[in-house]
Amino acid sequence: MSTFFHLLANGLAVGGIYAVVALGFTLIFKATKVFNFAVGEFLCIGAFIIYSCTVQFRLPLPVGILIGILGGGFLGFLCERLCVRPMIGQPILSIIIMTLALSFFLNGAAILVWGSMPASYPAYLPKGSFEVAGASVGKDIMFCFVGTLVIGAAIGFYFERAKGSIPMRAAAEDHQVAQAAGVRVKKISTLVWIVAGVVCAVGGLFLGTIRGVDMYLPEFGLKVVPAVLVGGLESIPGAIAGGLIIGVLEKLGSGYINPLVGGGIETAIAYIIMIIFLIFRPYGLFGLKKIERI
Amino acid sequence: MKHATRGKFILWGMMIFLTFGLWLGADSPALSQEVRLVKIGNSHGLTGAVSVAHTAYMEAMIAYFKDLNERGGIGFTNPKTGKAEKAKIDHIWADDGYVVSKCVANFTRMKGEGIVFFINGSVGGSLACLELSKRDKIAQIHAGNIKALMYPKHKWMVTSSAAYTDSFGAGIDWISKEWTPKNLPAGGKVRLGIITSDTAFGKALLEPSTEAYMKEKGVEYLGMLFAGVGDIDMTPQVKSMVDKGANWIACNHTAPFASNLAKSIGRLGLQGKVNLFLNQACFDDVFIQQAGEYAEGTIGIGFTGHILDSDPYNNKMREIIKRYYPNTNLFYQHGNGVNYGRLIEAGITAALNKFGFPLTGENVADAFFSADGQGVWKSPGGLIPGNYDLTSNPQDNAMLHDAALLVAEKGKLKVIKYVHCPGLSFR
Amino acid sequence: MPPCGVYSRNYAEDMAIVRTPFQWGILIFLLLLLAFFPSFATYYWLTLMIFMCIFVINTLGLHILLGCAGQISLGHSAFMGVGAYTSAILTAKAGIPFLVALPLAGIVTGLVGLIFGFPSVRVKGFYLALVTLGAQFILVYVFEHLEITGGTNGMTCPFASIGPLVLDTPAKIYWLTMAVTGVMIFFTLNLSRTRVGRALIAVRDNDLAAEVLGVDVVYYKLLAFFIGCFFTGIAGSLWAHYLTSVHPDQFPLYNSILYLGAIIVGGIGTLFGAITGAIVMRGFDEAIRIATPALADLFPTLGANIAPAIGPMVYGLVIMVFLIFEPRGLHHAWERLKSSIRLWPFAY
Repeated sequence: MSTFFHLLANGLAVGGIYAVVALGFTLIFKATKVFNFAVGEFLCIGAFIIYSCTVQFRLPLPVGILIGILGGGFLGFLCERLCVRPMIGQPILSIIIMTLALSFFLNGAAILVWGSMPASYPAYLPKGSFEVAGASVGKDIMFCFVGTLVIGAAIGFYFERAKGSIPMRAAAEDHQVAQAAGVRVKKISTLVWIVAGVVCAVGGLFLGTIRGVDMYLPEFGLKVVPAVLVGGLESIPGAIAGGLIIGVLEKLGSGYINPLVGGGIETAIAYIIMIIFLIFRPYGLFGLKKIERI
Repeated sequence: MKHATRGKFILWGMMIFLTFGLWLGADSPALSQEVRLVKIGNSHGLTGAVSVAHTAYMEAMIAYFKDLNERGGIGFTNPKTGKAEKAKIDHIWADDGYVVSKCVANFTRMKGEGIVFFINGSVGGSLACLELSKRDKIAQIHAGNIKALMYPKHKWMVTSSAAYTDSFGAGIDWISKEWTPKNLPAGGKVRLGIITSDTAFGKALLEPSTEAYMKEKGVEYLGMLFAGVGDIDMTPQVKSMVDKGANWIACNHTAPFASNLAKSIGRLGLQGKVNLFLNQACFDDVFIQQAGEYAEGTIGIGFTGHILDSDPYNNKMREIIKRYYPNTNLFYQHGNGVNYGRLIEAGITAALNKFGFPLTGENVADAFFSADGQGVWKSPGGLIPGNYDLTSNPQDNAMLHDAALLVAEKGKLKVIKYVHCPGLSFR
Repeated sequence: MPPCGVYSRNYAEDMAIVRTPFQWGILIFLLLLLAFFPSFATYYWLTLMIFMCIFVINTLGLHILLGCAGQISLGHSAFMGVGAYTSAILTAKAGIPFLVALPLAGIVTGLVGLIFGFPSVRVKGFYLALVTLGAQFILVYVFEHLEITGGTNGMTCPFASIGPLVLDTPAKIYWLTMAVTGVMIFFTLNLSRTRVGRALIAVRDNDLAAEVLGVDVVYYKLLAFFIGCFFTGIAGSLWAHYLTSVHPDQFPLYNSILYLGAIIVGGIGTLFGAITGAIVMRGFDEAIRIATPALADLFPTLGANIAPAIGPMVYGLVIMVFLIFEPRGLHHAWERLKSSIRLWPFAY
């Protein structure tokens, strides 16, 4: 039983990070129908900026984190302005390739600025672990899980319910009608990209704290895709739920199924679950039902 | 002019400029044509998953060969003329991003440019280029010391150190012979589990002969568990091993993976109760930096001595690398790159002395793989102490390389002793 | 649009691929050039052409799937792996002759593609793209864990042999690859002229309308997957028999993105676009790698990181700029150039 709780705790922690990044992904998709494949790089660059500030420039940690988050937002803004804005009106596949090319570019830029040496933050989280039902769960892992959930829930709640986000929800429904009602869709587009940059920087912070910052972070971006689909592509609570579910299932699978098949099942499991959902419930757990019977 | 048309002019102008730029850039010859040039090719993943180690290898090799050329090149006695001559090394390098198709494309391109030896950086790339090596008769040296690549031994594959499983064997040796009497009560057993990644690289640690060896040495083997390279935490696997009674955990991957493992052991509060053994590729300064305090007391095998150690040869090597790359962070893996450089210099010198100029790929392969049982290269000291024998005998009983058994103490790597790696990979 | 003076008098002429004597001339010249290429080409150019042809066949498969039928596929690299492994296993372990293994590899890959294309019955567009992305990861996982594929160590296979002739030099492999590529290009050209091709284009443009008109959308979508992956399987088989070794690492996600990029850069929907895009993408990739050391010499004091980092940066940047200014691809740019030359000095 303790193994189960162990895996569950780990799964929740990594799921929290998936949730936060999935949130950014979903926000962009909801408002602009753009599939952003560059979230992994946002994660990576955000984490590296925080590293630079705290270790290389020796700023105090909260200042470093703040600068990192603002940097992530600024990066999102730049990407939207320079890469997505000129592509308005183009077929959606071109925009996907654009974000893929953007991810190559940002990958190269990250190596250019920070090199490929792995880095780590100064330790700021409590050490050791505490016992939950026989499982020792690292305190820093729990902290990250709670942190990602709080931030994810806060942003998600704002965009889902708050009055200030009504223009964004209107733009997400239908660009034409929203514009007729006076909503500036371009401004909304910029806003969601900035928010995505911010949440990805947060995810990068937590990931870097537990795991260390290196050039493997961009790969996390791609793992978000099953999370988004399971939760529902246009649903914000779905993104968070999907992230947690995929994180937990990945870990449980790797713990229980790996010994049976000889290893490596984590990624495959996430995608198998995604395909099963796509076949039987394409709109995910919380997504909008759009049924086309062809 | 309309905005869109102007944009298109800019685009096409840029494309044409780039094309010509790349074409001209590719043509720039590095050295003049009067000097005898021996061309060698080098393809490593300078961007991609393992870029930290590969960039270090590449910087060290580029610096090494540039320095060699500046000192006049390789001096040899041409057997055809009997005169003393010089040859410089034309080091053609490229990035393959750790993608196999790019590595293969680099190999074929460099073969077209006339290389006589190839340096390879990825396991998948080496496996793919292995067949091409045999066909195109260009020997290669590779990074992934897995059994499938190294044995059965043939002249198209040169290695500079023992296979991963052999160095693990050296570790088992030391643990059972010297660690056990000092740390376990009489009759206590070493129980070892492996936590590694599910790749050829990660699993290279364990061959059937290694399991038999462990049994022979009285080490109880608890099995292999996998963790993902991107995993944030490996406590479930560690807990699982500890529940089976493990007092040693072994790992074979890169430093970030190993540091995650060390942190997981630390999170469970097991530092000191469960010992960590790291194999060749992961025990370096990056591990210590990333694992922080959790690295203390980790034991492992290193390819060579440490380039940051203070001795004449290492000092000289550091100066050479810093001359060309002043902003780089020197760490352990730079020493590995220097190792390659020295090896290749020795091999090409032997080939030139035996076959004269110009060389073919087969000449170089034969020189590395001399069938007379006498090593090509005995180490003059420095990074590698003792004799570093590179032969020859197909069953490779001479491939029993010395390696350094290291411990991480107070944030630094210290050599405990130099050990002899048993030849497990060809049993 | 055909230029002034080129007109059709009957249906056959309208559907002809080669229409004017000039086009015939160029075609024959090109065929002769390609056939005699090994006699004056260096080793490097021969192997480059072999890689290019394999890439082109792959892109053709994706062209049928994406350009004609409009189904996005992000897993083509893994499908190529299926073809490579099938061909390797058949020739190495079952001793089946290459000429039989080649089409078999294609068929097996087509069937695997069909399995992953089944969700296209329920989902469209993006969602389908993600299923194929899942295929990419799941198939690579399968390659790494099956006994028969050699697991994470990969496997080797013998050279292709046609009867007593063993294809072991680059020149011979070049002829085989070029011949197969030529056949595949012909197939693809023909496909778009037939009923099946028109049905696929109808499905791409608006599947609802196609269904209303009587085109069985499900059947044609699955057929598109089968044919698209058949081509990729053939490419995979050629790849395996060129390298004579197959390993899961040879089919990463990066290559899938490259194929997709080739289609987009060349222009979706046209064969000319697919081939040009393939050549440009592969060639550009090669050029960046060749130029990296020269770039390093330009910035020597900043460490080995600069040059390799610039590679992906320039690559990504050029694709981005290309997409912004030439969103309809090279084919459209070429057509624009041709028509502007034809119509000069008039603007339209």
